[in-house]
Amino acid sequence: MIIELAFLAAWFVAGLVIVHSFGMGPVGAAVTGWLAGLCLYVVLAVPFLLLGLPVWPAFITCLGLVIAAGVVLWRRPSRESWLSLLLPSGAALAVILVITVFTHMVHLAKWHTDSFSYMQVGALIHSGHFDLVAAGMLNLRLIALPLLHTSANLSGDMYLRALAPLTAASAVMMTGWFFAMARGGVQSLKDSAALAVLLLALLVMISTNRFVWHGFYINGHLLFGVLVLAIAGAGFLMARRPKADHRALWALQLVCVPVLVFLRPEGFLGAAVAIAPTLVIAGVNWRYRAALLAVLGVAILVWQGYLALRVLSAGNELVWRAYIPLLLGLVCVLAAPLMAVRVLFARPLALLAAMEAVTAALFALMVLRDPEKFQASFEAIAHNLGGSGAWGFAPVLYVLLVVFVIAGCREQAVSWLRAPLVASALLFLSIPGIRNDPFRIGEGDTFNRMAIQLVPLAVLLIALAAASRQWDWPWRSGKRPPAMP
Amino acid sequence: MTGEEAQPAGRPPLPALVLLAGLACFLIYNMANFFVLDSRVSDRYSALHRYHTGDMLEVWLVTVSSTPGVYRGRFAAGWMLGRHAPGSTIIVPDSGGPHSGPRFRNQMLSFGRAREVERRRYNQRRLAADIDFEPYIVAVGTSGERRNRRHYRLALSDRPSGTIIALRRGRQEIFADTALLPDGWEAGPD
Repeated sequence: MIIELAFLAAWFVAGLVIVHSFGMGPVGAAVTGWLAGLCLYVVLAVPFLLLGLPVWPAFITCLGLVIAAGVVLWRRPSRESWLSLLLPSGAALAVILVITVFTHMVHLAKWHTDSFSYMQVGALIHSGHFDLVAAGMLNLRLIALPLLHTSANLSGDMYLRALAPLTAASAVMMTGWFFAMARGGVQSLKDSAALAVLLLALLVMISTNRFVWHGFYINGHLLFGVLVLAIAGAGFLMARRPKADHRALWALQLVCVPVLVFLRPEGFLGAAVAIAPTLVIAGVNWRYRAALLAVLGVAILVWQGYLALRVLSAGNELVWRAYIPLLLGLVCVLAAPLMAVRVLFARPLALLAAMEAVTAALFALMVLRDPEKFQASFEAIAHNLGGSGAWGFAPVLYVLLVVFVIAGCREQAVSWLRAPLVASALLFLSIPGIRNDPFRIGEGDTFNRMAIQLVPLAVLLIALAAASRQWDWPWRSGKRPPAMP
Repeated sequence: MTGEEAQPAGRPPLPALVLLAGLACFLIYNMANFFVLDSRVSDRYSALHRYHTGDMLEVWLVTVSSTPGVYRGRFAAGWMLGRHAPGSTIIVPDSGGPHSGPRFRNQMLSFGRAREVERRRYNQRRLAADIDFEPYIVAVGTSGERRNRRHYRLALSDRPSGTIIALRRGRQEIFADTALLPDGWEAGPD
């Protein structure tokens, strides 16, 4: 337990120091610090792993702390800002401590056959035998989660017991923080009505049976949802004040994007739609946006290129599906300089709507290509998410609320957060088109577990809309406010 | 980074109130159904089911009776060795068979916490038949599909050598400490 606590706390400190040095306020740094540190750890570990070097979690964690110290020396935050950090960061460390102790005393961890694959890859990385992991396994399970769990092997465990619960806590805290920042900062929660709306929305998320389950589940679905929330939420905050100093949000996005690519097979798609709102804000420094797109492209090329090399070196041929992410990665890198062309981003919301339209067209194409497989998938989804499974009617209620918000709320938040949410959902629904089997009836079905990936962003959207005054009934044509201030 | 200006005060518009009412109903639904939903599913899909241990592999292989044999075959022996003889060198025959494949090697190097898996030339069945390991058995387990059920047994010496050899006797797979073997055991393949 002590070793696990040391890793989790060290990741938090590294992330906290970096985002704070880039200008994040004390509460924001405490809320996002753990996620940023965790992502930094993965980003630093991946080159060691792919180059065949030993992956020593303690060394990589120390490397993260050294980088954090370097950022402090470079940015030189004031003494006062460090003092303001004491209370929120102390509270966050206390949360890490309590959750770690709790998860070692009360055995609530949840598993599925995939969980053991993650643990096995993590243990093979720990024992220095990553080369033995088959390319097929890597293609399905990837490396971010095994890399995180590798550190548990130092204390004889196979997984970090507090990882999933802390991810759930991160989802709750970050949703609250983005809500507050969108409304004028943490002090905006002094408005009791806004605070009540936020608490209601967070309680809905926390009381959702599957959210609790995922909060103990050894897999990366909830982490995926939190990463999308962090990236899209940061982009939304930039959109509200494009001329402000957003280096802290940008740094957060930069470490989150590669981890999403290394986390799950659909991660590169999730990352692409999550950064879209940031990319189309012409007011934000084009170098930030270009770097973000380039980082996404490089992460995709690195991972998919490595996978392709593993497949080819084993004497096998690449299937056509393997070229899609490689192509997307290349396009991202090549398109990065286009961020400097302001005229392309004159109508940002139209671009986001176009992205939704493209994903909808892709989904329709997939359905038309194999209608029988999709019919079986839709039947499974209707069974699993339509009241019969452990979700109950929660997905139906989430969808109803989101549709009501999209149709009636004229708040800017809806315009900026809708696109990644809708596009992600459509892309997830398209997955049967690129895999061999349709979704299936049962709690362990892929889509049944993936649905949680949309929940944190959906809750933020609903909460912001519920606290907004800019509403109209869905059947009346209301004019939306301009996209850019 | 101070965020956006505060929202105008006043009574929330009616659609926002409808949304808030929807959220409140959602919360009531969630709370009223939380344990109902948990009772519908097996332990592993229950949100608040507590296990007696944090070792999920033990839960899967020992506590849960419905675990498919194919997964028991993939993980059970490794889990047993990882628990009772971590850090061992595992010796497997170089003459083929279930212990010579990459899957077994991966299992031993991950869940088995083996230091290394080495191929040697020896007779798995003859060694298993010649020696009585029963007094030294410290752990047993099962794996394989119903039609191809196999039993694992781990035999350790009082003074473990740190080297475990994989043997076979019928449907039994015996993982024995090499300290229990006679001198000159490396002779002749299966």
